[in-house]
Amino acid sequence: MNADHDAVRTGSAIDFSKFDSGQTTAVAGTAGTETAATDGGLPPANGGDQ
Amino acid sequence: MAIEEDVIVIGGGIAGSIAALSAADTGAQVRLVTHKKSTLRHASGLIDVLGYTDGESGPVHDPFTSLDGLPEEHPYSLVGESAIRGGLEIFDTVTDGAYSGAHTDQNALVTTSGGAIKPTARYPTSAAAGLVSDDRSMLIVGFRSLTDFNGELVADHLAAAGVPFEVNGAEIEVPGNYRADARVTRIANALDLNKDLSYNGRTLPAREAFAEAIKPHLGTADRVGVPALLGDDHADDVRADLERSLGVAVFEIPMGPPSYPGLRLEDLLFDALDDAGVRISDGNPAVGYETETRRLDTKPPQMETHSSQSQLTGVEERFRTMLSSSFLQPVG
Repeated sequence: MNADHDAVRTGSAIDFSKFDSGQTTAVAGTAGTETAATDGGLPPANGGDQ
Repeated sequence: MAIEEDVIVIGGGIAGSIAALSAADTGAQVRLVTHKKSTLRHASGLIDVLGYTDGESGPVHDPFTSLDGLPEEHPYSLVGESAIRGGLEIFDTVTDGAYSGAHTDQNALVTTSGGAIKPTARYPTSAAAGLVSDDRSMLIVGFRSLTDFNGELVADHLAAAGVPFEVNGAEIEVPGNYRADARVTRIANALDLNKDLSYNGRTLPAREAFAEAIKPHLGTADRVGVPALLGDDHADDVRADLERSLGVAVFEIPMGPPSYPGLRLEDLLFDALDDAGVRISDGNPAVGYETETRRLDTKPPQMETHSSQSQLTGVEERFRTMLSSSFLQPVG
């Protein structure tokens, strides 16, 4: 196994903050249904100012 | 007697369906030819654009910024960014509300049923709370009689990968008397219809029984992942009921066949094809074709069209001939 694959397997090559962290969905039955996307604090790419 | 259409699309998977919808959107009369109508029962339901490249050691975080580094013979280099975005746009329209990821170009990271981390561009809403790039604490629950998925193993693999949250795993018994035949389809059906199940000496609706079985393992987890078996026609209701009972987010982890996320996606795509007026021929594999130009399967690009009058033959017990001026053979 080469070094790159080792790095991927252990996660050391992954900067998790660079990836889509999703739209935090409120638990059903609680107030609200959805909050803004949480991608590094940026607004959703398909809404608001482009 | 030959069937004649403006466009014939070969293959009824995701690529074929999107290609047929795109062709129909131009006003063309379209027929989709697929050997087996149900192809997505084998698919995870995740939509990948570009997960890895030779030049990057880890998963690609933005597929579109990585396109420039692809070889010129790569299919994406041949069709270009706008065509990729066009396909995604059709997909997003068809799956509106059932899929997430369209809000950003960034890939999301999800866990596989083996606990590996996988980049993907679009994911079912049922999997949205399970993103590995989300830092909420996580509990992964497996069911002992379902041997294809082990919650403790998945959790261990995620922790070993350095995920930015606390993750624990649990293996529990499936509520109800499924020990002798705990097929995914039986469990999904029980949850879908909320059938009465026996649990700890009581009879409870299936969704409540599953929540009761999970609760003792919940700890401080903010979200709970389970194998993707949370119902079929009423999957959103199943997940919502579990979330109400548990008080935390619940998400599904894609599994092998029969893949419920794949089957749900298939329903969405075929509904859209019906709405777009695309005719569907299933059961007959395409076994040959004759064109006045080159054969469809011999040269890139992988999606080809032919402007000359061409002929496609299919066979079941007898040959059926279809005529068209344009064939599409998308391969996804």
